[in-house]
Formats: sequence, C-alpha cells, structure tokens
Amino acid sequence: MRMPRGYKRRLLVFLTIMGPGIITASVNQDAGGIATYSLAGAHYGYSLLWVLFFTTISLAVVQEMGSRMGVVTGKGLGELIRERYGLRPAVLMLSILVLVNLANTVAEFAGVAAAFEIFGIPRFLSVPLIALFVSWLVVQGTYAIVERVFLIASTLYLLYVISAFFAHPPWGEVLRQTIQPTFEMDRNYLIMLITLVGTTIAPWMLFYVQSSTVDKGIRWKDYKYARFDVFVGAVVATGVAYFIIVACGATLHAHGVRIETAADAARALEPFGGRYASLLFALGLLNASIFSAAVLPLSTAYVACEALGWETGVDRRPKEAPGFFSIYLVMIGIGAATILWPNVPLIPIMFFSQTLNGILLPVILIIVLQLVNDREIMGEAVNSPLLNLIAWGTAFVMSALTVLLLITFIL
Amino acid sequence: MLKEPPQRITSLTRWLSRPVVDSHGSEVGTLKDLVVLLWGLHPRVSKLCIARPGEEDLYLAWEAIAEIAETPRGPTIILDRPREELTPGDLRGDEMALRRNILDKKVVDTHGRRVVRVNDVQLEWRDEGYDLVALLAGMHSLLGQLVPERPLQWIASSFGIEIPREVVPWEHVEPIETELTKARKRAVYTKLARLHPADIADIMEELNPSERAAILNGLEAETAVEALTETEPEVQAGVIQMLETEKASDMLELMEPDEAADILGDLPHAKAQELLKEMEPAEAEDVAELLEHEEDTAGGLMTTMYTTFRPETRVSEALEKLRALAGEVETIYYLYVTDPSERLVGVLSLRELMLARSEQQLHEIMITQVITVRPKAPIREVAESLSKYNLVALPVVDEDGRLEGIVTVDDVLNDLIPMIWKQRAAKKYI
Repeated sequence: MRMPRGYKRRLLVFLTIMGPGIITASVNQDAGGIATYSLAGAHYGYSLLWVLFFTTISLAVVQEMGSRMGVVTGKGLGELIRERYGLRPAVLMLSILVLVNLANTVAEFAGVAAAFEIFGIPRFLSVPLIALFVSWLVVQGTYAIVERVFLIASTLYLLYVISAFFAHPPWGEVLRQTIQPTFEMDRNYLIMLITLVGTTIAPWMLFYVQSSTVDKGIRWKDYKYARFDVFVGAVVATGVAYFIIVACGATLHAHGVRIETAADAARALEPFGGRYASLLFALGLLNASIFSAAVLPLSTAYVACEALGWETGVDRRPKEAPGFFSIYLVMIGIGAATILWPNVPLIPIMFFSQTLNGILLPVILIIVLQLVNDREIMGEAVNSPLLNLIAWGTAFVMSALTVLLLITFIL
Repeated sequence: MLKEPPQRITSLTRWLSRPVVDSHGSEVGTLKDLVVLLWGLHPRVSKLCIARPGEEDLYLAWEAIAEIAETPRGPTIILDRPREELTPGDLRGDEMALRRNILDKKVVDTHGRRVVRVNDVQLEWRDEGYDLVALLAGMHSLLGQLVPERPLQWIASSFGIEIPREVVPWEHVEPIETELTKARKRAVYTKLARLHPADIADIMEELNPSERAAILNGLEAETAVEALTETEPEVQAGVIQMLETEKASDMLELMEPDEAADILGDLPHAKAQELLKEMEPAEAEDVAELLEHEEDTAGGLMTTMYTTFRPETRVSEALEKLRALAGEVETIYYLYVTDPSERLVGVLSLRELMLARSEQQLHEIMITQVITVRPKAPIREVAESLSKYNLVALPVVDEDGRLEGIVTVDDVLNDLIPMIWKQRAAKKYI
C-alpha cells in the first residue's frame, strides 16, 4: 500500500519532532500525575519543589539508559529480560509490571470519573462508556490516528504554566525552595516523596521509551538525536509538574484548601481560567486519562507479548493476536470495574497508584542497571560511572524511603 | 562414555542449572549450556558448558559424561573422571551454544512462515548421542516451565481445553540472530532464502527494524531486494535507514527506479541525498528525476525503464531490439517512437508490430495521435485515460512533447486500490 508522498513527509516531520522521549513525557501527565502534583502543591506548598530538581536528573538518566538499550540491542526491555534471564524471571518481572500498570489504569479511570463528575455526569455512565470507547479504538485499529489527537490535546497542561504566572506567587520564595532540600520523618511526607518520584519516573516509562526507540529504528550513529529527545522529554515532564505544583501552591495552599475532589484541584487554574477553570481542568484531565487508559494497557500488552513470543500489534484482528487483545481488554475491564465499585474515593486512588510506582521503581531499575552494564549485551555502550552513580543512587534512595515508610508504620 | 540416557527424548530446560559432579561425587558446577555441532540435518550435542562459582566457565566434551542420574527435579550429570583430570575444551567455529543462541530467542519457522519465540529445545537420543530435533514454542512449553505438569493437565482437562503444543522441526528453523549470523558476512539465511520474497517480506514485517536489517544483510542481494520491495512502504524506509549507507545504496540500484524513488521520497531529505550520492551516477540520475515529482501524479508514478525507437527503424530491427531489451524494460506492449530530440512522434502496439511486414519502417505503421499525460497530471486523470482508451501504459511528456517516462496500469492500480478501500472504510463510519 502506498501513501501520497506529501502526506507521509508531514507525518515524518511530526514524528521526528515528537520523539519517544517527548511522547513519554506527554503520557506521563496522566490522572495519577495530575493528582499527585496537585496534592503536593496544595498540601505542601512549594516545599517539595526541590524534589523535582533531583527527579529531573534521575528521569533523564533513567530514560537515556532505556533509549540507549533500545538503540544498541534493537530489542524491547521485556524481550531483553527474557533473552538474558530466561522464561521464569521474565514472567516474574512481567507480573510486577502488569500489577503496577493495572493500578495505573485504575487511576486513569478514576481520572475519567472525576473529570465527568465536574460536568455532573455520574461515573456509572461515564466510566463504562469510556472503557468501551478505548476498547473500540484499539480493536478497530483506529488507535494510531487518534493518538495524535491526544498528543496535541495534552498541551492543555501548558495552561498550568500560564496559571502559575497569573497567580503571582512569591518567586523569590519559590526559587529558594526549589534548590533547598527539606526533610521530615513523617508518614504522610514520606508517602508524598515516594509518590512524587514514582509518578515522574514510572516503571512503565522505562519499557515504553525503549520499545518506541526500537520501533523508530535508530542507528547507533544517530543516537545523539535520540538522547537529546529524551533529555528534552525529561525537562518537559518535570517542567510541567513544577508549574502545576507552583500553581496549586499559590492558589490552594495559600488559602489552605485541601483537595478532596477534582473540583478542588481545578481551582488552581482560576488565576488564568477564571470561571472556566473547572472546564479547562476537566477537559485536560479527561484527555490525559483517556489517552493513558489506552496507552498503559497497550504498552503492557506489547511488552508481555513480545517477551512471551505472542503475536502483537494494533493492526491485527483480535483473532490473530488473542493474547495481545486479551491483556489489553482485561486491563481496561478491571480498571473500569474497580471505579464502579460503590463509593471508591477517586483522588486517593489516583494518588496511591503512583505510590506503588515509586515503591516498585527500584525493582525494575535494578534489572535495567544489570542489563545496561552487561558488556555482552551493550558492548562499549555500557553505563559510564557517573550514570551508574545517579541510577543506583535513585534505586537506593527509593528503597530507603520505602524502608523508612515501613518503619513509620511499625513504630 | 554414556551408553544410554534415562530419557530418550528430553528438553534443554530440564538440563539447565542442574548439578555436574565428578567421578568422586564432588560437585564441579552447574550446567550452563549445551553445545551442538552444526553438521548435517540434526546438530548433535557435542559439549557441555559448566558454570563454576568464582571460576571461568568450563567447556567439556560430551564424551566426558559417565552417567546421567535422573532425579525428580531433573538430571544430574556424573563425569567419568575426578575434577583434577578434566581437560577443558574450546568452542569451535562450527559449534553453537543452545541457551545462548536459541533458547528464549526469536526464530523463523520457515514452514509455518512466521516468527516464534523458543520456549524449549527438544533433544532426541539417536546413535549414542543427543540430536537437536525440534524447537518448542506455544502455550504448552511455556506453561510447562511455570506450572508443574500434573496440575496443568488437571486444570486443562477440567476446563475441557487442550493446551496447544507447537513443535517446529529443526529443518524448518532459521534463527534470526545468533553469534554465527553476526560473524559471517553474507548468505547465512539459507532456509529463509528458499521462501518466496513475498513470504520473506511478511516475516520481516513481524520483526524489529534492526532484525529486518540483519535479514537483508544476510540474504543474497537479489533476494534481499525482492523481499524489500514486497514490504510495506513504512518498513522499506525504516530498514533502509538501518542499513549501512553502502549496502542501502547497492540495494536501491538493483530496484526499479520508481520503487527506489518511492523509498527515497519517504526518507528525510539529507538521508535521501546521502544515498543518492553513494549510488552509481546513471541509476542515481534516473531516481533523482523521478523524485522531483509528487507521488500521486503521473511524474511520481512513472518509470524511466522504457525504450524508444526511431521512425525509420525497420520492423525486423525493432523486433530484434525488443527481444534484447525485454528483460530490462517495464513493458514491451507499446513501442514509443521519438525523433532525435526525444520528442514523441508516434506509438504502436506489439500486436501491430507483429502484424506488419518486416521490411516496413515504423513511421509507416505507427499512430501519430498519441494519448499522453503531463508529469503533473493527478493519478485520477492517468487512471481515466488508461481506462477510456483501454491502454496498459501511458507515455508522460513535457511541454515540448519530449518523452519523460511511462506509467503502467499496475503502478496506478497499486495506488488507487488503497484509496478506494479507504473511501469505503470512511463511508462505513459516517
């Protein structure tokens, strides 16, 4: 099948700009991310901004490792784990991935429900409808087209940047808190720290960035472009997070508002959006939630099927790739059904799914570090000592925070 | 030397990580890999690779096994001498370690024409040795490693389902990437090369871009080009970018100029220029000319693989020339007659040529009212002309009437059919 040259050229330019790193960054601003950043800003003001400074560096390093492994090996992370460690370890790792991604999918449907509730539409209507829509997208094979719409709509979050400026926060204070770390040995504070890192450096992102780098077919010679893309993506992801926290800090925290529902969180957009703040927030949240509700189960299904040797692909019929479509649809089904459970609290679901990300991040990170430092796999392209220090440091700090958190529960 | 093993048919995963003990019963290490000698239809297990804690891996000849003790957890390998007397071997060039190169990797099942991931390797005892007979894929071999056999069967039978077994005989297996394919420069995919290029193309589409490039690098140039032209355009552009510039330009030279132009048109401009520079000047020029046209116009569809005749040429000479060139040009059903400045002055069909007397000159029998299109004519117009005048090819001429190329009906169909499908599909959702 041939396409007109002009159309495809435009498509290529688009894809060149929207590299794997930047796409990952856009997907990252999902329901869980928005909830976490909003809560961080509303409840802790600017005092957690310093975390983002370190998270940016970690995120860039971690994503760069995934991207580099994709280019050097030409294989996805799931495949690599299977080929290096064998079937059983691969299945164990896949189970962990499916578990966290399922939690994240549940969070996306919580986002869908929350966004619709701002419009007064009950979740018993909205959630099944969106679940059907997302299933239809992939089963019908129209997903690839719609993905671009989502990506463009995800720029809605730039509104937070504007809103942060309109809110006139005390910039001197904001900057001071950005570079000055603080720490409290408090249970809620520890959970917030883990969650904040977990939502920014989510385990699925490592798989996602590597697979999309592989699919793009980048040669080692051209790797510097891919690396640049990943770095830009990391800065964009944490940059948006930064302004969400500042906007929430300047509006919600300043007035002592605690976020109980999505409508509370929407008030952070008031300095810019005025009475349309709720509408803008709801649209942004809805777009991000639907997009990620499709992407997360999709990427999980891809990783699992590739590692297990099952047929994959959105361009196939469900009968040709039963495993792939089953994983996708079951994840959507469980995600939606969980939210339909009577009276589940939406904001906590979005938040705590990201805590799980943070707790399980070191597990995935340590496997990635083993692989990326394996000369048989990576040849000369193994990690430099500095990258190892940062990545191991991230894994260590996240494990330490989890241990501290456990201690607060025991004491 | 082992005379008879406890199991005649066994599988690699049962052996891996099992203990290896010497003749005194003290543990030497655990089995890390089995090595086969790549001779004949069924490679024979020739060596063991033993992992030893704190020491280098040890390769031992298969003959060093005295006995295999079957335990419920798998076999224990008992060697025929004490550990001090073991003579370590080395991996030879025609030997391949199975876990390292085959197990858990992707291979092509050339009989089923698909790509599978290897869950296990089946070995069969024949003539005092284990031969590699087949690879196992599919659900049964996958679940078999995760769940014990009995509960698995119990669950399957209580649900009334049969867990599918997929056995790929070794004679149909083509590994995609092994140390051997990486080491040898070309023509390693002998089993794959026997398939039809369209089937190779389908298999390539199931692989990652780097694996596609590996396949093309390993095939004979002709086969590689045919397979590549059968793949989807996105795949073509992607794989050309993954290949070394020299290899990529060699492949483009072997293609029809219009196919090559289609691929180059999908690449970033700088990359296309780099490849054109690397190509032979004559071929590069043909392709570069085609590249200047939009893809869905006559100029973008046309080929420059045609031949022209002079008005004063005799029928016998024309036939002679056609016979010589028939293999290289895209269509021989029309003869295009041009004057010395390449202006198209007439056309005649092969049928008219055959019916004419051999001493006649072409200008006596040719039609001078030639149906032509301009390079900028959209594909619809080309299709309409082809259908209205019942032609299989149309000449493309510039403002001065100079012949630039020809569009054949199959090139138009290739482009029109997807368009029609898309319109139908679109209607379905409106």
